[in-house]
Amino acid sequence: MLLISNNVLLSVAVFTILLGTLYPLIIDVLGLGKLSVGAPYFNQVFTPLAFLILFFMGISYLLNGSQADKIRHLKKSVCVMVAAISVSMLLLLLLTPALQWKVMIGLTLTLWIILNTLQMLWREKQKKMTLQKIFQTRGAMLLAHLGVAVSAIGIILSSAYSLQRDVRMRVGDTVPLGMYQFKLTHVDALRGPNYTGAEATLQLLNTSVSVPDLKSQLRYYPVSDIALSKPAINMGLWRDLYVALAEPVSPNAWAFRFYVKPFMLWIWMGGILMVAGGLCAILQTKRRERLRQIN
Amino acid sequence: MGKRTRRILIFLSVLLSSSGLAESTEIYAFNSATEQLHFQHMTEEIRCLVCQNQNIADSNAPLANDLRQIIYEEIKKGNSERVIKKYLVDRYGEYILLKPLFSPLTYVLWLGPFLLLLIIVIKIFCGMKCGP
Amino acid sequence: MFFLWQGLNKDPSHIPSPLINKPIPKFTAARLDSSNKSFSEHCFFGHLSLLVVWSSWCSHCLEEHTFLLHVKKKPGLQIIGLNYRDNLLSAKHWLKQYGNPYNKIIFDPNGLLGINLGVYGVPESFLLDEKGIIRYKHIGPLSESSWHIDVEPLLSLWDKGSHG
Repeated sequence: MLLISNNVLLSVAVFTILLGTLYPLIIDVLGLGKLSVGAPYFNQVFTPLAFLILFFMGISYLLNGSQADKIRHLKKSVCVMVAAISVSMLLLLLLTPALQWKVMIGLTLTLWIILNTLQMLWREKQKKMTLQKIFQTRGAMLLAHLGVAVSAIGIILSSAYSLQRDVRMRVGDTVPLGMYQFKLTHVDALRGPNYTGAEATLQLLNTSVSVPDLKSQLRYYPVSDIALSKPAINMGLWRDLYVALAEPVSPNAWAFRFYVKPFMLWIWMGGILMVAGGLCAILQTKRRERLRQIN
Repeated sequence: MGKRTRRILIFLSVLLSSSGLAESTEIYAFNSATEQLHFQHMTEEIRCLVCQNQNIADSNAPLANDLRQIIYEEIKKGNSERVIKKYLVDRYGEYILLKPLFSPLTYVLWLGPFLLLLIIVIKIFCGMKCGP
Repeated sequence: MFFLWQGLNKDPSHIPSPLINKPIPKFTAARLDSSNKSFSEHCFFGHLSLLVVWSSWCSHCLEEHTFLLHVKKKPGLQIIGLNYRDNLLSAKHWLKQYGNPYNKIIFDPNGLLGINLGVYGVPESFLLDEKGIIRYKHIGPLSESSWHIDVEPLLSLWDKGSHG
């Protein structure tokens, strides 16, 4: 039952995407009106499914072993769950202004996966297996599950704690957002092959790490009468900074949008880990085939 | 805004961008952080009708700007999310809501995934218990 | 598969209006021709009206312009223009250059009346009956063919209704 729990959940998730995407079309063709199904729907339906998937991913290590083994591991897992809940509650209470329950559940479940993975590693080590051996047999699962956990942390924290500001700035103004201060140092005229516009240069003040100047462009394409904003993005391990120059609001002031998105890079890192896990699985299968052929 | 007006405004702004002394101002200023979040949340749920597939929070289209301005003013008046959504739906229809309303028309949409999950779980349990 | 196939025939930019069969919302708006007089919903009472939303910066509006000048000749139908998010001088200049098919023109530079009517693009047109109730909304420029297919059947239906 546990074995296919995540298969079932992932299938339901895929079905949901199909349903949400085709629903407006079905309603329209049936002549029942026109409605939109967008990100808010997918977020709302996906979140509980995702939580279930994360939960079952954490228990997946319990699957092998004898009945006695399973009971022992179950007891350990309860301890792990308690630990996960406590650590996530502590982190959130200390580091964030208010405890949001969705973030709490999400963070607990990702810690649940990570701690269970570590526990599995510890168990294997106790069986006197070398790290290399562990990697060869369980490497794929390790990488893939860690990848999911890391991506999940990225998604949960960046969606819950992103900061955004829409402001008017003149050259020389400084705008604070979170622990960052952005100063508009100058705005230059821009000329391209099929566009004109402006380029704004912003400096990050008071940073411990040196960040290159952020340059955002507003390009005006006369042929299509469209003004497009080309944002400046600074990616960091703990946060992404995003600055977009928007239309001028008066002859010497510009509209800007700023984003500070924490843990954004983790989503990508988690993805890379998952890909690595997948490749590992392929290598593992090949290795097993080779061994079988030898025997 | 006409083509020429746009061009001129951008050009003038670059020309006149010299040092400013006063503080910069929020484009949408609210009295409290809750109102600010409310605004952000609402603009992410309203569709930009002239864009391919964007909400009005992310779009620069004139209509998106107008609708954001309206939502801003309604929030400042103290109107609830339901009232503001009804205002927009009365004029543009349900199409403008990116999060569909829960109504007989959308029961399948909202409940479908969970019903499917339930059916599969029941089938599996039945398979295990009522099996050979 | 059936739905996908049928979906190819649907136009994603045609959003149905929830104002059909509802009275025109109450409003007070400026007139294009005079800055100290205004229009209200009363200008729609007592006549069959075609409300055309247009702007001088909209290229498609020029397309339907010749057609509107032709339609103007139909008896009993008043054509009211709604100049949407435009510059007063540009609008007046445009009319001088291309002709004026409108009996009355409402000046809506901020698009406020437009939003109350659910306008999201230009050009759009509305057909209203004598009681000021919106009966039909047309998205995009009006032309001879769209008039024949969509509007004339409605007009003849009402004609029969009022004479029958």
